[in-house]
Amino acid sequence: MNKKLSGAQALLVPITRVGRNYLPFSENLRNRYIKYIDAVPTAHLPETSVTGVTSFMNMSISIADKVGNAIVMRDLPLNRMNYEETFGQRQPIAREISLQNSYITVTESAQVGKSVLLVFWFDLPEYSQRNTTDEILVDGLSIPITSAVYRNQLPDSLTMAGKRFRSILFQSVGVTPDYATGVDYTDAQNLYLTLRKGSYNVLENVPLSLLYQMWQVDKIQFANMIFDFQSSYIIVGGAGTYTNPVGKSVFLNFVYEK
Amino acid sequence: MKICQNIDLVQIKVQSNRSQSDSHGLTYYFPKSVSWANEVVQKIVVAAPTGGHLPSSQTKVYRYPKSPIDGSYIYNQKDYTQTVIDHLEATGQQGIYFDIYRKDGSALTKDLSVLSLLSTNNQVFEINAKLDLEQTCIHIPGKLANDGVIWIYVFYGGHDDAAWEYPKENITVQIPLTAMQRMSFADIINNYVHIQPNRIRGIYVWDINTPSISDGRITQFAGSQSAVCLTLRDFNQTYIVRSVIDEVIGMNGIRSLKEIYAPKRNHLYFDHDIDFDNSFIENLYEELATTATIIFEY
Repeated sequence: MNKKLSGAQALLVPITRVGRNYLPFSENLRNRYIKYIDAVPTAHLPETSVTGVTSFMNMSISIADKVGNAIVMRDLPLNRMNYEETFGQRQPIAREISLQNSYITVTESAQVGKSVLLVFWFDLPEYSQRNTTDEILVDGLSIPITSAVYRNQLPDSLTMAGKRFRSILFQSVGVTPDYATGVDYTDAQNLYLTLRKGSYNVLENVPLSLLYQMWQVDKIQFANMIFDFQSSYIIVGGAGTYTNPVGKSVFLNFVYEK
Repeated sequence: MKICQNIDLVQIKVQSNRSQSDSHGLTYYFPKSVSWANEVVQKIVVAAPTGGHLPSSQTKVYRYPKSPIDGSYIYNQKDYTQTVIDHLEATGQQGIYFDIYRKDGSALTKDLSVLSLLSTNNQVFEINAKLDLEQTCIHIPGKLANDGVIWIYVFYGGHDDAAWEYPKENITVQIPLTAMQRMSFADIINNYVHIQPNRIRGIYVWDINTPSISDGRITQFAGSQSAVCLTLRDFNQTYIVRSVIDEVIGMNGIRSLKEIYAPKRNHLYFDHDIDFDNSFIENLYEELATTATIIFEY
């Protein structure tokens, strides 16, 4: 399987009971060849004030194949998909799956009422390309977080407009190059990046903590992904209940094809 | 396989005492008269010497390590509980950014965060270009808590040799070093290793601190108690590697068994002669003895 990625979508799985909790259906993920799934520990979820699950100790996931009548991965510990436990060595899924027939098994009542954030990684051939050169450039961008409720749009970047991106790294800096206070890793666990091309979400609600890849041995590589800066945005999780990052800036390094 | 890669150390002193009204930040340029000015630089690794991973309450045992190049203190003497780099990584209090330019003047990186270049990063950003040292610089927009020195290791040169065979045997030696002691490789080989020097084809350094083991896996090494520096020269008296601190070629940054499998550390492999009389390891601490663990491969 080619490890390069070009699309992602976050999915919230409500934990309503001890036992099986089936995944909600998502039209965007239908017929997608899923490469990896990240289970992300985060307290404040995007666009909802429901509490997120931060410990996957007593959870396992079972994944059904595309047709839905066979479980291809049964009772895999959810921590196997937690990058903080695996150091980024992701479990390949490498198939189309049926969300409605896949489920998370919970054995701990303390988690009931919360939601699990899963990020599905896949290919979007229409929003990515093969390499055309080995030459890359790196640039940085500070994104001010001004609201815990509304979208914080990315500033437009003349130098990076129309480029094809191979890597995006969240860097937990203290002071950004434009002299704002940077958000730290704890903040980043509750910030969500959506990258859009036109009105299509190429990456949707990807936690910034996934892009902080200091310890990871297998970094997320993008397949020359394209997106527009001016329509992309970052939201703060918790639907207004979490305001810590407001007034700071997110600093991202972009690695792109020259 | 890269054989006999050269490593040079660049130290850039950074200041804390600028006024709050200075809104432009400070920019520090790389030195220009360096041996690798016309060499392809593979990567730049920023080291966070000693204590970079420790809570500040523990760092008081580390007394005043000194720079191997000019003898200056690595830390501000008055407040040595945290280094500049320590601030960066542990709390993100400050930001240091690299602007790197290629020889033809084109920009390779603009505002690349130091986090992408730290030795503790499992995949350091690779450069693979000759650099324009007139323009390459670091800049620090924030106000640093302390004066400090940023240690920058430049990996350059060497050649690829697909047919080169990995060493098959190794010998591990533990060498006690008193404070500030420098020991030549000739002494080490005569006193500890007892093999023909010309058979040695690889070296790496390992800080010996005992790992603590819980639930069946190694969870944590006690941290870098030592600041052991390695310098290798060839018979032309030129540096092969210059003052490489153990964390850059060692394995003491490893935090768990998972990371041991990470192919991130840099063994030094070579296929030509090293002048062992003029190559040495040294303990950078003024008051602290240490034990260096060196693994020779042959």
